[in-house]
Amino acid sequence: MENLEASWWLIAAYLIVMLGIGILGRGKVTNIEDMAVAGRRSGVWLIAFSVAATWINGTTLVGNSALGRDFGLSSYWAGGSFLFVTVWIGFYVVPKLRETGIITIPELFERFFGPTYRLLALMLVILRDLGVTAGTLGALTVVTMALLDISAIESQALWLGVTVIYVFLGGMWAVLVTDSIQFVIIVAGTVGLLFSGIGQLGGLSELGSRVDPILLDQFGRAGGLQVLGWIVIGIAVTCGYQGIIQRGFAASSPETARKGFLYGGVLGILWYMVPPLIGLLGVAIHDSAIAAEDTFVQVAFDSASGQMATLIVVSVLAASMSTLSSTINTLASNFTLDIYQRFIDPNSSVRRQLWVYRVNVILIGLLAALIYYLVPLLIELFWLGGRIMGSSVAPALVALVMFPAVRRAPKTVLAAMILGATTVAALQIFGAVQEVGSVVIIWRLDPILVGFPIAVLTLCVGAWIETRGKNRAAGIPS
Amino acid sequence: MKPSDSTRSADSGRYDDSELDLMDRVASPRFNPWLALILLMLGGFIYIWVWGALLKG
Repeated sequence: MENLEASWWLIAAYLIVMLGIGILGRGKVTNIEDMAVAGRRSGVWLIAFSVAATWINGTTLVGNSALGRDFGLSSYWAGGSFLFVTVWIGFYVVPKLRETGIITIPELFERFFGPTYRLLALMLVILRDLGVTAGTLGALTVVTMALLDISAIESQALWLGVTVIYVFLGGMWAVLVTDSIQFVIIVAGTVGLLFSGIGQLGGLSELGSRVDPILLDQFGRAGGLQVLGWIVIGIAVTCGYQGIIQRGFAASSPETARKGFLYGGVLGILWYMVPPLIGLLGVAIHDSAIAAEDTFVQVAFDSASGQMATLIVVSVLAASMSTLSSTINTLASNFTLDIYQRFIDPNSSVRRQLWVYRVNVILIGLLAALIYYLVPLLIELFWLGGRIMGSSVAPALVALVMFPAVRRAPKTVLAAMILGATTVAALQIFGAVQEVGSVVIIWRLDPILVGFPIAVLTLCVGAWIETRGKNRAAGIPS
Repeated sequence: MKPSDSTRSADSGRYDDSELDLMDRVASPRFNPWLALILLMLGGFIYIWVWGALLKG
């Protein structure tokens, strides 16, 4: 493949702007709270754009376009479900969590049940977030190697390097501001590519007439069960996604958080149809002549030239860097608050905490690169840890927020997290696979469709039994 | 005076019984949350249907 004729000057300008925001943000960081949640004083649109940008990344572009090629419009749920749930948690979960004053999710588990729960929750959220960080970095590397004809090392040094620097300097404030700029770039690049491709083909109905009609169905080739699996993954993963929930902690008020999640969620809901449509464009132009994972890149080669090519390259960078910056910052908050400050040096000075946080930002960047080299998968890398976290921490977290009885049922919460996590982990190793795709595994029964209900059922039944016993001991009728 | 939720430091440990429901000071919308989630998801199916109709001409 020849590389796109992208302008390195414009790419350099984009990177310089990102670094400049990091430098500006440095003056706004005086303590850990500034670093992790931007001092809890951010406005609606900063939250909204950041929420939307964080849900879009290189894997979305490459992986969801590949899914769109294979499964058509039904693959919308592989990404869109996350945004619907984002709107929902913005109303029902995030404002209450924000009220607790926590910065990380494991912190909440310690507040209710003690340090053992914090460590368990920490392990489960890190498992997911490290997978996302490595997967995002991997997709960014693969795409930019193809588009710009550069090596994996050059790619990672440039994009990961710049991202780490601006998070290192400006923390969450820099993440929010860069996210907002990146969202505008992502929309311009991807929607521009889509319009260009559809225009060259002769319009939407021409695109529809050139693909297998099953690709335009609600459930399509994936089938109802897999669509349900994608929806349940969306519910489970979003409800425990620290990187997104921390956006709500960065808001200046509960109402700001609600509006930010609503606007950001709706923007994402609308945008998430872009990758399936790009996938359909790939089918219409090339039939099955290209590998699914090459669909996005190939459509970009087909439809983009001149400055449009640069815009597409920069939008790929923007999509991945917005997610990378978010997960790196979140993981740094976990490593610093949940491990260093909690268990290693609780009395460390503010200055020291800040430095530990910043060193963690660098270490997590390096760790993500290492994981990518060891496990070079795309979307599945996201979902392996995501399913485990989504069947353990996420249902427990939502239950804690929604049901006061669960806050008084420590054994139930522990049992639900362990049962959900181990069930999904076991099924991901031994479960029946229908098809191993290029970017995802299609399961006969998605492991989360077993693990998530087990965790929910354990929480419902266990909390009833555990609190009923306590009420009886206290002489309160159940 | 007990620390409020928002002023509690990161490492101050567990809530006591009287603090377990502090987060409920923020009211949730009155609309049933589970029904809201189902309706949101139905919105997704409608959105896909609209695009399907556009593509089918």
